[in-house]
Parts: sequence; C-alpha cells; structure tokens
Amino acid sequence: MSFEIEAVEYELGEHQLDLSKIIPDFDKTFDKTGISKVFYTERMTHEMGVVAAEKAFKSSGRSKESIKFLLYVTQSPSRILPGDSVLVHRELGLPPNVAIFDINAGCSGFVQALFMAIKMVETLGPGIVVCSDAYRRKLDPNDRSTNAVFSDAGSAVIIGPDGHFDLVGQSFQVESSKGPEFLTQNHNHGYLKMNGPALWQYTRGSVVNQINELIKSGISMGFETNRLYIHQASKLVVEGISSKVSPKTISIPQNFNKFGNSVSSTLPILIKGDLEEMSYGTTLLAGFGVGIISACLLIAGKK
Amino acid sequence: MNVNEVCKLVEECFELSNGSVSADMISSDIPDWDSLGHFAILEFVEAKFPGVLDANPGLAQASSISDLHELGLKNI
Repeated sequence: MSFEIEAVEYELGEHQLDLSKIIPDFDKTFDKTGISKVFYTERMTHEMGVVAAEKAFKSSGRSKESIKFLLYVTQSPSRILPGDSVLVHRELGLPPNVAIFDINAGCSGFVQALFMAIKMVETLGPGIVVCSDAYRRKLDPNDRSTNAVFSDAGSAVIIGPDGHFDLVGQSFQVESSKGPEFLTQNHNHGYLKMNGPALWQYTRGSVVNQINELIKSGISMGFETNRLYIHQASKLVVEGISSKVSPKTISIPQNFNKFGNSVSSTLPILIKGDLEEMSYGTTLLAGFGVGIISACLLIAGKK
Repeated sequence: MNVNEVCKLVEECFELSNGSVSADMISSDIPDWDSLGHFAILEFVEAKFPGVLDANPGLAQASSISDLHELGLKNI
C-alpha cells in the first residue's frame, strides 16, 4: 500500500548538557557510548512533541483539519490519565473527528506507530505520528550508564496517502520472559534502571537476526535494502548491530554523537534529512527497546 | 580458566592493581563495574577470546566474579 511521508520534524530538550562535565573519567564512557552531549527539558514531556508537530504542519503545508488520526508514542507521559494523546490533540487544536491512540512504548515505539499509521492512512486518510520522551528527569544522578546516553526530545511525522513509498515487509518480536527486567522503573516512580549489557546481548543476537531475515525477505521479492536506520541507542549498540548486518553495502547512518539516545525520537531525527534518498531505494527501519520489543519495517521508495 | 584467572582478567580490564580483585567480589565491590563497565568487561573478554560471547550469552548478565566464571569463562 502506497503512502507519503509528508514531513518529519523534531524538537530537542531546551538545555544542552556536556557529559564530560558531569561524568567522571568521561573518556572511558565516551569510548563505549559515542555520546558527548545530551539534551534535557524542564517542560512537560508532551510539549516537545507538540512543538515538533507544529513544525511538521508548517513544513508539509497540510492543514490540521485534514488530519484523521493521531498516534502518540511515549514511555514517560506527562500524566497517567487521560493519555497524553488527549493533551496533544487539544494543544494542536485538531478537529474532534480524529482517531487518537496512545502507544506506551519507548525505543521501538516509532516503528510500531509508523506501521499502524501506514495501515490506517489507507482507511482513514492523512494522520500524524508524534513521539516524545523526557527520560532525563527519571535518571539516578549517580548512574553513569543511563546518564551517559539518554536525551529528551519530541518528534512528529505526517503520513499521507498515495505517495512515494510502499510498505513491503515488517517484522515484530517480543522477549517478554526476561525482557521486562532489562529496563525498568519501579512502582513508586523511582529511577530508571537499565541492564545495558543484557540489552546489548539481545540486540547482537535477536535483533540482528530479525534485521537480516527481513533484508533477505526483501531480496526474495526484488527489493535490495540500500539503507538501514537503527535506533540510536549508543555507539556500542549501533556498531554492534552494524558489524553483523549483511550485505556490507548497506548504508547505515548514525547520529547518536549529536543527539544522544532520544528514545522514541531517534529514528525520526535520523531520517529527517534523508527522505529524498529514501524515496529512491529500499529502507529498513529498526526500533528496539523496553520490553524487549523490536519492530522492523521494510519500505520501498517508488521514484 | 579458573576463578583466580578471572580476577586477574578483571584487574587488567579496569587497570586495577594486582590482587585488588578477589573471587568473592560482586560488581558493586569493584570500581568502574557498573552497567557501562560491564560492557568493558564483555568487550575485553571478546577481544581476548573471540566468539566467547556468542557461545556464552549468559555473560551479559554476570554481576560478580563467580558469575563471570560460572556463566562462561570457566569454559575457556
């Protein structure tokens, strides 16, 4: 089914943080993460997503009145109920006859939402995927492993019908038996705890297999993957996956060094400048994280 | 690899003095062995013994010297 990516925009946390100033012995940390600066916000989480969405409406030229659905992704909501999609809908001034959904997902959330959006645009019409996460306020200041990677940001992607892209493949995985223990927040809204090595081991195994299988599936249908966009968790994760993906001719952009790990927004931020290139080739998007959930889409450009 | 050799390996990885790591230590006893430090151990071990991580995936969840030994390094 054919769709258009009409706009991709993002909004970073308003404060930039130089990690070398807060993390002792920073060089050793940087060697693993590849991240020297992150962003944090004092705003409510959803506000970054709203700003990104306003930018997306402006750059696409699409009217808010034409929007038929809103998918809102966050793992760090501004409030528990109602879901933040209501806040986003209200602050954007979207019309009342809009289907809105809250997706409680982190680093896999954008890909999950994009899949839903691609399916929904055919039935309902144009829509918008908004992602926003503000993890930094949930981090233990003494926890180097989380402080060294996470960044606050929001993003928005407007999807329209009948465009330059086809969805030609998808793959979803959940490791629910032990995955929930790898990235958790305890019940009294305490600090985030992350078992980085266990997550990393999972990405090197299951996620790599998932990506390679989808690439092969694409080839069998006549689609050779040119570009692979991996969730920008950190240098260790991105390079660990990149080294095991086949074939080696696939271009694998990265920007964790500029933006850190902005959770649900890493992939929108990564693809923002590449839409033209994407419309000429076949692109694989891979998002994975809390759960452990991993979602991959294979998108063919039609130009 | 015996457990004393695992201690030496961790000392080498974190550039700690000889004898500073003992077999009964857990991760919180050892400077730098947090989540990121654990990555350092895994990379260090993989560089010395290529393929050891794929063969012993449990190493990713080790949180003590004895875990490192039992979850994979004893097999080297």
